[in-house]
Amino acid sequence: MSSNSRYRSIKDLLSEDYVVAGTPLCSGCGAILTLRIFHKILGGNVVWVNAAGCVTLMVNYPFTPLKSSWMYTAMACAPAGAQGIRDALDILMEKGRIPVDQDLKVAVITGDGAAYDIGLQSSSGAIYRGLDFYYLCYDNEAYGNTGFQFSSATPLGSRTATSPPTPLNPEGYKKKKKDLFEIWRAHKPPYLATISPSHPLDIARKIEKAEKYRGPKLFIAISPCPPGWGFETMETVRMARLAVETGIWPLKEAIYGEVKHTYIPRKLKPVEEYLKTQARFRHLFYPVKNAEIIQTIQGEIEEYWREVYRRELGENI
Amino acid sequence: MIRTKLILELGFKRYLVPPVKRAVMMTGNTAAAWAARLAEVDYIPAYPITPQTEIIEKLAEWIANGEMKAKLTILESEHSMLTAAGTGALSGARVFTATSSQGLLYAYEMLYNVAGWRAPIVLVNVSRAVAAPITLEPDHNDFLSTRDSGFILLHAETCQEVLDLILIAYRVSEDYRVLLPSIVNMDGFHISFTREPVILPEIEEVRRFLPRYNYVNPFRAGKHSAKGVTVLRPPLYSFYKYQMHFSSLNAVKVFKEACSEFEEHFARRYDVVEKYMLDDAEYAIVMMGSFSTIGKKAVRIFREEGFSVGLLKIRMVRPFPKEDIREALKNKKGVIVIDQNISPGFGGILYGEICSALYGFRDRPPLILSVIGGVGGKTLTIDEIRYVFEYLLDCERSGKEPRPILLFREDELEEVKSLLKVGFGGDVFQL
Amino acid sequence: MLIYARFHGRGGHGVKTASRILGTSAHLEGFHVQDFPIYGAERRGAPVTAFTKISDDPLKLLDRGYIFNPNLVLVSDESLLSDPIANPLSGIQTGGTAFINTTKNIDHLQIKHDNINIVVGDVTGLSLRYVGRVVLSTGIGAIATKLTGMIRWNSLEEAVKEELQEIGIKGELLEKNILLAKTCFELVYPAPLPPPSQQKKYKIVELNWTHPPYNIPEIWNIGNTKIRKTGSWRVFKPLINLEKCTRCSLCVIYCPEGVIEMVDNSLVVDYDNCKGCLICFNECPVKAISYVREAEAV
Ligand code: SF4
Ligand code: SF4
Ligand code: SF4
Repeated sequence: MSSNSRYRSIKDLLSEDYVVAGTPLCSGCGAILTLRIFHKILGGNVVWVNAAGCVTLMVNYPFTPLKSSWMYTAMACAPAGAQGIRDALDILMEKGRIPVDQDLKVAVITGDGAAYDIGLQSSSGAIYRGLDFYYLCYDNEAYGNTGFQFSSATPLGSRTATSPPTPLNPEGYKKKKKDLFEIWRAHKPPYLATISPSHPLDIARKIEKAEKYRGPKLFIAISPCPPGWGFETMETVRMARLAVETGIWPLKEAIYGEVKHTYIPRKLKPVEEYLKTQARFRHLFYPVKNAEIIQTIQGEIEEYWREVYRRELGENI
Repeated sequence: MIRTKLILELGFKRYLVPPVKRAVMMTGNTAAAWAARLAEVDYIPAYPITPQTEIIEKLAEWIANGEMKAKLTILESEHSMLTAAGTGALSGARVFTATSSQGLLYAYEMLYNVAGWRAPIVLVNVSRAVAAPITLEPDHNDFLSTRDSGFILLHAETCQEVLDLILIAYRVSEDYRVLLPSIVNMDGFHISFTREPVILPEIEEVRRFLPRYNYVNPFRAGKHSAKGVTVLRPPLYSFYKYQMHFSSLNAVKVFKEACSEFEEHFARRYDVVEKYMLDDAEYAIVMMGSFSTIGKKAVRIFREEGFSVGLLKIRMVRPFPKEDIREALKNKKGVIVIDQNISPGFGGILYGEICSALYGFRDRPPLILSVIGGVGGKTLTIDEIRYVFEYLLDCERSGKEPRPILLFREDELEEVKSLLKVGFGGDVFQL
Repeated sequence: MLIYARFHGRGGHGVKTASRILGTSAHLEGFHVQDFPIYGAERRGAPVTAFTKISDDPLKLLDRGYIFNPNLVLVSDESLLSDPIANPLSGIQTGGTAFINTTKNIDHLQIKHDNINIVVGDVTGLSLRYVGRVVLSTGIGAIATKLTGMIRWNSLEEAVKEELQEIGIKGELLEKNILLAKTCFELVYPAPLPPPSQQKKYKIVELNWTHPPYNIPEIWNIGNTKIRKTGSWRVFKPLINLEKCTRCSLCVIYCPEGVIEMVDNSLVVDYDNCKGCLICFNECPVKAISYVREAEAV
């Protein structure tokens, strides 16, 4: 962890807020919490470019909670929208038509549906072109805005509106979560990280590091979603923390494709602790425990971390 | 020499001859690129598609060798291309882009968005028939599919018109009374790849005609705004859509103003429609785009044969210049609308639009005949136009209600038969 | 006979299900029915509306869509009464009936409408008692059903089963809900529901072109959501004990709404906008934050 970071303690995060209260997003929404922390560090001179998702409704005429700029595009093309703004500002500055102090940071914010599915082509294009932008994907692991249908970010075993557990299909969602981190990493962007709202200092330090690079700076944030995942609103941060501590949501970064974990839990909490507190996984426990699926999930996590311990700590477990 | 010829044909006798400027042989694609260069556009998001590619190649070349200062970004799809075009314009850049056919349709969602954002870009569409079945040949289904999007739609007939209409389109789109994007359409192959002499305007003159783009409130640090926002209240949505409609309607007047200034600067005159030997004619043929050239030829031939025929070319499709069309077709005995498009289950799109413009008009022509020809690049011949003209006269004499005609020639049927024979491997069909 | 019932609640209260419980029980009773919810920008906690139209004559149900002149209004949270966006009593028929879920009695509600019947009851409390958590759909649906005076318990019971099973509630939980429905059904009496009168006359205006920027869907007045006062969404109110508090700042950072502020080494909560998620309560390392039910907070 960067010892020379400006962000040493939680008190270093008490800077200005650029997301004011009063959004129509759910009480306890993990996405808005992540955005709030993210925006603090990024500063106010930002234009957010958005694709359809819960956060879209944050800016619904005549209200915007942002003290920064906002551009809603469409579901598939937020990174292209960012490209247009970046390119326009660049050429206007180059032609001397606007002073550099009118420049803005360009940041994309989308949910997992837009990032993992319909907008994958557009983000791949932007990253490939080396667009100088931030991408904040708030991953609530389903199409939350439309009522929680599965997306390719949905994890194995989750109940969603389109993967209901039934006697014929006791496990709920049958596929594994798409690894967007690896897909993006294959483009070798200057900066790529996963974050969690439970670890605000980690977020701050990562943005601080990313800011030094020109080009794509990409963040995938786990965003617990009380109505979709089925837990009490007060548990949002705890849920995100459990995801990190059970190892199901690793905190890591990749600089030009070189991966490093920013938090390595030496002892993983059993994933059951995370799963059983959420209604979307309840069918794995009641009325009868589906030990097989739970074991599959646990096994995959352990395998993942064995590899990390070996690679980053030189340990063989 | 060429200049004199052009001036005579277009009838600009009352003008002082503009500073002598040599016309240059160029394709419609190159003319479009020149227009973007002369308009000093800042930003060109692009994506290649036949037959539009030459425009982008030309611009890329000029930017690469320093003859033009603009940012060219090749995106990964037309959908993204149009998105970037829109957000670029909202950030204060003058934006040019071009596409064609499938590309236009791939970007379709964003046409509505860019118009709704009120981003005044200019997009050149090189018309090409839409798949399936897939072809490279032109017709107007791609262009006409955009007519409800909010774009201003202009259709060019010649390479010169391509260049001029793009310059005029920027004037119209960026006018505060309009603030809507434009599509300038040209027919693939017939214009895009056809070379003819084009007069290149002087850059200083273009600057006088087309002032620098200044968007209302572009994205800037310290002057934040939220754009493209959701409006979930039904009255708000209606309000903005009605405003788009009013602004589009304003474009008729703004276009005419821009055209008369254009004439002062460049001595070429345009209007929302073009009347060719029409004023004294008893019968009218209505067409659009480069196909009208063959229509004009037919008019000349029929005139020589003693028939009183003229042609109305629709240059502006949105806003639809209803009054000008009424005025032009007033008291004609019969009208033939020749569509280079087909709306399956309805027929010709332009025919439907012309009928709606004339409905309820006291002096409307009693006979309006719908003809479809030129779909997917099918060539139109004088014989076909003669056939429909004679049919119109026949209907007039007998009082029959005309039925729509889908033009097809015997030689074309023979060709289709022989191709199907190969395709199916034998005489397995009856046509 | 024509009943225009309008349900007001917040996302997550189950007003859609409540309107369906009324709809299905009326349908089972043999009436002609339409029910539908409005989906808007609002997520869980924000005001939402649902409608049920009931008649013995299908011709009376020809106009689909929103109800602007209800003769029956069901309000699932008293805080909605002062919410300008929800405005639950707007357009209510003179002589019509409104049910309000509250722990207060009528005189404390400060209702400005004269000439309407107000019925109050603590469905939240009953639901906590019978079901063990806050499910307003069953209770409010049952009360609406009874207020119409035309639907029997059997039809309601059937409707509750159908609608709750539809959203995945079964077994013991369903039984508890049926008990709750029964209690609520017996709690109230049929109310007067005079037929909704002709809606107010609308005047048509002619729109013209408007000058930019007013014809562009943009917001220039940035950061203006505070005036929406999402504090009214709150069911539970967090209270900070400043003596116990170590000023560690964690609650300031973790509050998704950003409504806890550190001012002069003290904490200030903007209750106008605190949504009551209680993340602060859950995250405070020294348990300096407690909470009370909003209704009892004042
Ligand atoms: S549905 Fe989930 S992600 Fe969407 S606003 Fe609500 S809590 Fe946030
Ligand atoms: S309950 Fe606490 S964390 Fe939640 S909005 Fe209110 S102050 Fe913030
Ligand atoms: S989390 Fe608890 S101790 Fe820390 S500042 Fe908030 S109230 Fe005080």
